[in-house]
Amino acid sequence: MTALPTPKSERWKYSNLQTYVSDKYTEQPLSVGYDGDDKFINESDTQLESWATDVYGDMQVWDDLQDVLSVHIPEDMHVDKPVYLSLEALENSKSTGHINIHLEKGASLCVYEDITCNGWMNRSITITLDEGANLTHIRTGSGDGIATNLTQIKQASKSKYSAYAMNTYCEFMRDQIHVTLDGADASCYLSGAKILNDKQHCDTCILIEHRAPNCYSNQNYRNILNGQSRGIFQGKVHVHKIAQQTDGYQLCNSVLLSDKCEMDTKPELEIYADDVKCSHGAVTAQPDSEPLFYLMARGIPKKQAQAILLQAFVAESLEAFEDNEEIYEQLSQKIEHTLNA
Amino acid sequence: MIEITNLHAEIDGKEILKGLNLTMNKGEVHAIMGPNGAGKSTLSYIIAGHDDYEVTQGDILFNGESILEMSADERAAAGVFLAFQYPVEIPGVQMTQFLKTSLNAIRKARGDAEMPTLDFIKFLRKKTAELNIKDDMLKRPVNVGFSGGEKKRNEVLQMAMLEPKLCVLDETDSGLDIDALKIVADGVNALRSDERSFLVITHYQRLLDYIVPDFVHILADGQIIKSGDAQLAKDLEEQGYNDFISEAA
Repeated sequence: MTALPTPKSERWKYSNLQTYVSDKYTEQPLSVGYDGDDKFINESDTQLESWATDVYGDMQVWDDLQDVLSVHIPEDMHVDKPVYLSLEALENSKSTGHINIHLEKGASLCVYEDITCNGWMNRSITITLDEGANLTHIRTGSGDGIATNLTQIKQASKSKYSAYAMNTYCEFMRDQIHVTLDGADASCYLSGAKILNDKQHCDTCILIEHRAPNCYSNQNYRNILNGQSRGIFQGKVHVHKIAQQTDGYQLCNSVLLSDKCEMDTKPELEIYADDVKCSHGAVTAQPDSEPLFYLMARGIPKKQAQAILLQAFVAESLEAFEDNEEIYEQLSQKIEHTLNA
Repeated sequence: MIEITNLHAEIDGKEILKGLNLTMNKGEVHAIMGPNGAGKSTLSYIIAGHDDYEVTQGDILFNGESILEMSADERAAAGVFLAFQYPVEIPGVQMTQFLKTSLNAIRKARGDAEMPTLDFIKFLRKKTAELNIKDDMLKRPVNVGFSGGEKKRNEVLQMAMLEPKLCVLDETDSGLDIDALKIVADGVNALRSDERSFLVITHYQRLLDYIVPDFVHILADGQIIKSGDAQLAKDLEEQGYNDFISEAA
C-alpha cells in the first residue's frame, strides 16, 4: 500500500487525511446493496475498466480493491426505474470498493447512490458513457465517518452526465471527480451542495478534461458552513488544444454562518485551444441582510425568513434538475430537512 | 394613527434624523418632500424597523403604542407597510410562494387561520388583475429580472394583499415612466380608505398630481422645516428646495 497523501501535494494542500485516520480501522469489504433491475447488475464481474487509472495516483483506491459491482446498460435501452446503490462502511472499518457503470450507445439511466459511512469508506466509481448515452447520478449520505471518493467519468460524443452530490455528512470527506470529455458534443453537469456544521471537513476536487471539440461542462455548487467546519472547492477545467468551441462554466458560492468556519475556493482554468468560452465565479460571504429585511418587512419572522433564504440559496445548485420534478423535489426536501436539523 | 416625536436616529454613528416630529391621523395622506440626503429614506426604514438604524432619542407611537422595540415582522403584523424604493431581488424564492408565506405569517400573527390555497389563488388573481400584473411575473423569483415598473407594481400588490393600516411609500415614483406611474398611483388610490393612512415620500411633485395628499411636509437636514397642504408641493416645485430651506433657517 502506498503512503497516504499529505498536504505537501498541491491537490491535497487543504486536507490532511492523516490526522483523521488511525490504526483502529480494520479492512473490511465495502457493503454494497442495490435495488434495480437484476439483469443490468452484476456482482461477480471483477473486470475493471481498462481506461480507469487513479489519474493523480493519490486516491489509493486501487490498493486492496475488494469488491466490484457492475451496472451495464445495453445499447438504446432506456431504463425507467432508477438503480439504487447503498454503500456502507461500519464503525472502525476501512471499506474499499469499486463500482463500474457502463451505458452503451444511446442508453439512459438514473443512479441514486446512498452512502452510510461511520468508518472509513474508500469508494471508487468509473462511469463509461458511449455515444449519446445519458446518465443522471445523485448521491446523498449519512454518518460521521471518513469518506474518500473517487469518481471517474469518460464520455463519448453526444453523451450527457448530470450529477448532484449532497455533502451533509461525514467528519471528513474528500470528493475527487475526474471527467474526460472524449467525444464531440458531450456535456457534463457537476453540481452539489455542502451543508456543514461542527468540525466537518469537506474537500471537493474536480478535474474536467475537454479532449474533443464542442463539448459543454458546467460546475455549479452552493455551500453553507456553520460551526468550525471547513469547506474546500478545487475545480479545474483543462481544455486541450483539439477542444475548440468548448463551453466551460463554473460557479461556487458559499455562505458562512459563523466566525470560525472556513471556505477555500480554488478555480483553475488551463486552456490550450483558442476558440473557447470559459468562465468561473466564486462568492463567499455572510448572509445578506437586505433580503432578510425585505422578508421581515412582509411579516415573515426572522428565523423563518433566514431558512427561506438559505433554502433558496442552496436550491440554486439544483438548476440542472429543474425539469426533473422527482429529483428536484427529493433533493429540495433533503436540503430543507438538513437546514432545519 | 402614528405619532413621531423628537426622533433622533443614526447609522454607523452618523446622525441622520435630528428631532423629527410628525403626527398622522387615520385616513390621511401625508407627503414628505425633501432634497437628497435629507433623511427621507432613513425615516421610512426606521418606521419599518430596519436594524441598521439606531434611534437615539424620541419615540414612534403606532395606535398609541411605541413600536421602537418591535422587530420588522412584528411591525408588519401590526399594520405597518413599507413600499421599498429599491425592492430587493430574492433569487430562488418564487413570487407566489413568497406572497402566500407573507400573507399567512401576517394572518397568523393577527390570530387568523391560514388562508386555504384555493382561496389564496382566487384572492391573488383578483388583485393581480386590478394591477395589470401578468401570471408570468408570479412564476418568477421575487423581483428578479423585473422592470422598474414591475417592481413597483409588485410593491403595490403586496400592499393590497396585506391590508396594512399605515403605508409608507418610499420614492415609489423613482424609475417609473408616466404610464407605469399612473398604474401604480391608481393601485394606491384604490386602497385609500378612512381606516388607512399613507406617508408618501418623494423627491418630485409629479407623484402628488396622481396621489393627492392632505398634507405636505418638507424634510431637510433631519427635521421637518415646513408643513402645509397640497399647494405647498406646487410652490416647492416652482421655487426649488434652496429657497425653502434658507427661509426656514
